Amino acid sequence: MVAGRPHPWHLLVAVGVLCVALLAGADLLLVSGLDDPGARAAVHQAFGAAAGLTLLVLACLGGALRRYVFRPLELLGRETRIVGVNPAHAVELAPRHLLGDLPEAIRELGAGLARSKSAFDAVAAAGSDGHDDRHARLEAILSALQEGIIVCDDRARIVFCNPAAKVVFRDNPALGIGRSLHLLVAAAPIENSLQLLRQRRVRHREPDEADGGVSFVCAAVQGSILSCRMRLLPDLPGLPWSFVLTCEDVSREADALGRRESLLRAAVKGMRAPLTGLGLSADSLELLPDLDADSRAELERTITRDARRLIGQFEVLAREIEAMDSPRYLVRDVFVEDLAASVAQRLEAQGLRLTMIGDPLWVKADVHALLFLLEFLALRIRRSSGAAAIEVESLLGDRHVYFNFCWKGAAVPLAEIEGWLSDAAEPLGAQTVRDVLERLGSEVWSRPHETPGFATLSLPVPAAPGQCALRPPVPPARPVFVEAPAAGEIEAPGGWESIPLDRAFFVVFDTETTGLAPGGGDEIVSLAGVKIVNRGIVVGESFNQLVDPGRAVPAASTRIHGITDDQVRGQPRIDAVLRAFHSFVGDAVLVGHNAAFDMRFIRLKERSAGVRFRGPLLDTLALSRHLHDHTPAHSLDAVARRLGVAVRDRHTALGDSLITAEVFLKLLYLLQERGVSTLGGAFEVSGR
Amino acid sequence: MPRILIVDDEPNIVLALELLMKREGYETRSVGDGERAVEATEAFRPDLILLDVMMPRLDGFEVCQRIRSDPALKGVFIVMLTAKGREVEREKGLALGADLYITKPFSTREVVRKVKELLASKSGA
Repeated sequence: MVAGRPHPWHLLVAVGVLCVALLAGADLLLVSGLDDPGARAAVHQAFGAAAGLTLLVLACLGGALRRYVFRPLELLGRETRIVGVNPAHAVELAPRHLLGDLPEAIRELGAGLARSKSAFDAVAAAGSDGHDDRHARLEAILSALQEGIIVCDDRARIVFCNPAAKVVFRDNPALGIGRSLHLLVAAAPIENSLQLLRQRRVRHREPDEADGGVSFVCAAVQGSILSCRMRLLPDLPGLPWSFVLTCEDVSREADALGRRESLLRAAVKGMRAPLTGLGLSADSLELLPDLDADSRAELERTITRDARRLIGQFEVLAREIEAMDSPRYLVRDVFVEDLAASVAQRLEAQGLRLTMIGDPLWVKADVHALLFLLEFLALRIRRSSGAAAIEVESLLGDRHVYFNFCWKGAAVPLAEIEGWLSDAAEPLGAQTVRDVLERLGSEVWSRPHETPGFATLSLPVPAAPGQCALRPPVPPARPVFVEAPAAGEIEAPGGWESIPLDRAFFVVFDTETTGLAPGGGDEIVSLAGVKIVNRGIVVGESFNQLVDPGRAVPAASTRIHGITDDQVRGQPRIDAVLRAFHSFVGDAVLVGHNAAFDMRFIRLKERSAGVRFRGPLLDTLALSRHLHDHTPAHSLDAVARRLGVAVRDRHTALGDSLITAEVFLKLLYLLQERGVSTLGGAFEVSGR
Repeated sequence: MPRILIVDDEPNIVLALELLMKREGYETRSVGDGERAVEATEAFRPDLILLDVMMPRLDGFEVCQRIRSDPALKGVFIVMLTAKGREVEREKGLALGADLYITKPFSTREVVRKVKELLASKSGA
């Protein structure tokens, strides 16, 4: 009932007043024609009773109307709005009403709407498939690149980042759309480079040649060293003066270089003294042949000591040279499984079956050289022993990964292997197989297997340092390109309340806990959140972390969320997780279903984690209650069902966050229909 | 008296090792290349061979492999003394059956000690 429209009650009241007025008028008229006071009183009484009866009848009529017409109408209005966001919603009314076929008609309308919506979606999808083919290809290529790519607007806020960037920044939760680049890297190199590039562009007017970009090395906030290249982008609609940053983590190389340099310097320094000593001793022996016994003994001791020291320094040098990396452009971290598939396929084509077994491992090698060697050795083994099937097992040693070929037959004598090695390695240019082996830092030998009748051949290859830290290649996720950067400015002129809901950043979160008593010993076991930017959930940017609660997880709670003691063992504690979550949230507004409950757990740990979640908290439970107070069902399941949100992975922190996020988006739409369009308005309604 | 066969093409090293081994009271013989090493092993039947790897005609790895594949020569200790110091080469030597792999430059005292240990383990075993 919006103010301004004629209210049904007004009508009834008007009718009531009119009737009473009419009756009063008739009463007076009649009475004026009568002289007898008794008769007058009787007339007054009669009309009084009539008036009272009229009012009673009107009141009952009003009540009945309210119950059977107005209230159902109001409910129908709300339900119809829900059909607007969820065409599959079944309009429900109490069976007793006087609206006739209207609910049924609306139901049919909703069904028709649902049908045309799905038809439209199908057409749109088909249409956009064709149209967006090039777009999709571009995105796929971007996702596949190994370099981290970050595109920022003119204020160094991130507009786009590819999956590789997440790897380069070691999954820093502060990396996300709309977040500031300054949260990730030291500010100075970025600002200086930007300034340089801008000056260049302004000076040159023509954008092309001048924008070659700027390379620099800088430190990431986490301490890793990055090699970066920054270029200004041509002016894009809605994105003036934006720039792209490609980055690569060179910490390992930087470390190795630094370490080697200091070791070499120390070794050279350490060698000077004993070398000098030995030289002097040799001279002494030559110039002083008649030395007395004591002096001679002294000299001998000196020589021995100096020789030992020299040998020691030499060992250091030798070890370091052995561990020296090949030039970077040749050597890469290679995932053994990828190699295996490729080699097996090529050998299959030549009638030899190669099976690779063993754990997935990383080696540091020239890919082509390694591929060539594996194929070469397998074929030679077949030629020598006649085996049609060879197994290759990869084993991790101290600093090498061993490729152990195994086949049915005799071990290959070393002399024969030497013969193989002196052959030319044709596909790799002018060198022998032995050269390839040397460059790989490898050797090859063959022995009988423990099992009689079988033989092995071993090929050790330098292992990539940090096997566990390296991740196996993951199919690239689609990157998200936000069309125009939503400016989640908390610096809005009227304060945060005036930020339009359309442009605010939200993080919808959920926790799983050991129980319902935050102050009574219950702890968080899982925390997850998803980002909403520009009225859409950001794919690929989510927070999901199991937490070690520092206490046993009761079986009762495990039955609900499925998290066991085993799963939380070894996970980080809540302090570290809260800090990471705080970094992930940044300036966004927190949203949750019955958020106050989850927040209570979080607030209790804010002090020890050293973070504070300022800013408003929106509760989808309260929003739903406000919008649909005609129904008592506001559990997440009920609200999701009502608004047509699919329920998946219920009772997991991430699953519930996603459901709540989709519910929130629909509620936002309904709120805007009701005229609530700012954060302040939503907060008022949400009441927290 | 334990018998030691010294195999190295470097005369200085051969000299030094011979003196050391003789001083310990071992009987020694020495050869300068791989092929002669195998012959000498069959003829001299040493208890322990000090074997260099980088030699003409037959390198130390092959000598080791041949000796190990001959059942008649079972029980001979093989100590590789070599300038080939890379880890993969050490692995190869040990995989081919060497009992010990010592890289040059080495301490003679070390070598003597290790030889004594190995010989003692056989008689004790």
